[in-house]
Amino acid sequence: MKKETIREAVSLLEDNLIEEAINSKGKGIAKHYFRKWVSVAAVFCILISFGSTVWAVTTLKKDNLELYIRKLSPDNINLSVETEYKVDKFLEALKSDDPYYQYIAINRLIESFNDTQLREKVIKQIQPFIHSEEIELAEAASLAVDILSEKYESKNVYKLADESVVFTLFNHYSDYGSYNEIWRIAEGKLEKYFSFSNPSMYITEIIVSPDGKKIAVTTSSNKSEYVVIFDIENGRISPELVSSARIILGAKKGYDVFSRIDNENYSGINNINWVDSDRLYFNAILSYNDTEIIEEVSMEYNFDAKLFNIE
Amino acid sequence: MDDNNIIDLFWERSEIAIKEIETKYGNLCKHVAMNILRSDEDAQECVNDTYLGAWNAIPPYRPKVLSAFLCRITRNLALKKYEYNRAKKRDVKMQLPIEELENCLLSASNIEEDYDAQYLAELIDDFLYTLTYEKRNVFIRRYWFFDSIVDISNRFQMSESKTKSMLFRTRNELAKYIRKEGYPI
Repeated sequence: MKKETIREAVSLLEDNLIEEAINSKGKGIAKHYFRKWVSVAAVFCILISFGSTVWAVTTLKKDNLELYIRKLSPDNINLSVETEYKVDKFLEALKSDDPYYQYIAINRLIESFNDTQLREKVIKQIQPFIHSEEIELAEAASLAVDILSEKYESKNVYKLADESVVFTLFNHYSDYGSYNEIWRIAEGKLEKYFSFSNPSMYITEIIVSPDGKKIAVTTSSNKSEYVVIFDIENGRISPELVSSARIILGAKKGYDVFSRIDNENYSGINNINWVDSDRLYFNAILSYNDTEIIEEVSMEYNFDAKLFNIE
Repeated sequence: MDDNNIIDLFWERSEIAIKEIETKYGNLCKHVAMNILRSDEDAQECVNDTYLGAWNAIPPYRPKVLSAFLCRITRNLALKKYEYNRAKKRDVKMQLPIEELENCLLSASNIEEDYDAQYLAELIDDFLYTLTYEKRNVFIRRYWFFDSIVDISNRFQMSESKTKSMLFRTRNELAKYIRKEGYPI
């Protein structure tokens, strides 16, 4: 089967299905509840009708400006094919009219952290973007200023027990997550702590352990999800937990377990949480035989004991 | 105005038909085009071309569902434009959500031969009718309309993680269904 066949087949979906999807929505409010509040709502509607018009116009204008990116490549984030980090290039890009350039520049300028003299200048130039109508730009600018001014108050900066902090750049730039690199500031120095490789193209979540010494990091491709634990204090990393669990359970149940050359596991996770400072819990959907068999499991991994408990 | 009356206007070659579809479906078509192109200018161009496409197609064609007919034209035009932009590397946003589905179905594919898209479309239709209202429409909003996860979550009043998880399961169920029904993937 070719990609084009799938694309064409989807585009040929029935009109009735398309029509239903056009009008589709989530579960509404129960009828009795609706009647009870309808008179109050009517009065409220009249009061806000004028305000709504103004709001609608503003929102439409804003929607048209919305920044939308699905996948950034290393070339994209360098704003060229050259890989050497040059602050001037990114400062120049801030002046561009293109929000994509501005967005990339703001994120990359965080890397100027180690140059304390330059930092002030960078902060000053990024600061106006905090008030940008473009939400992605505003959020990136807030994070950049927060980090460069060493405040570390952003929800996207994770504080650890050793007083270092970790974070990702290009936070949630895509539907799938953030850029697949972890950065760390320890003892006043910024360093790229870890780079994931394909298929872990996006970082979806960072969860700090209760003692602040470890972080669980979930990543994804657009097909599979993965989890690893970093013991920051001792510089250790766990095996990838979803694929490991898939192999352990598969062997136990006698399934034909093999690994794909692209390392996709076609498995997913949710409800991830630390039970205590050593044990990480999550639910996983594990797939076998090209997704013919799907197993839903609860999983606990003990980092120090290196033990998997799969139910 | 009722859709049938609008179609009648097309058949009468009345230009009021264009104004009526613009009023009634202009925003919808724009949304479809924006999801693919993410450029106001390009999207508006597609919408205008949609009106022209409808004008050229009706008559002789009489669409059963006007909204779907217009969205289909917009979607096709926008996808062509998207491919053009991508070939010219004008854009950094290189992936459409449909690739999630392609990757899932292709992952299970062992055979290099190609098969009939119409037959595969019928299987997908049949599969979608086996799903609940919510699952079906989340799937179509993602892979036909290319809505973002956030938009789908807002539309169906559920969390983003639930939306992702629902899509993930549905994709896998579809691969399983297609295999079971005999399409050789």
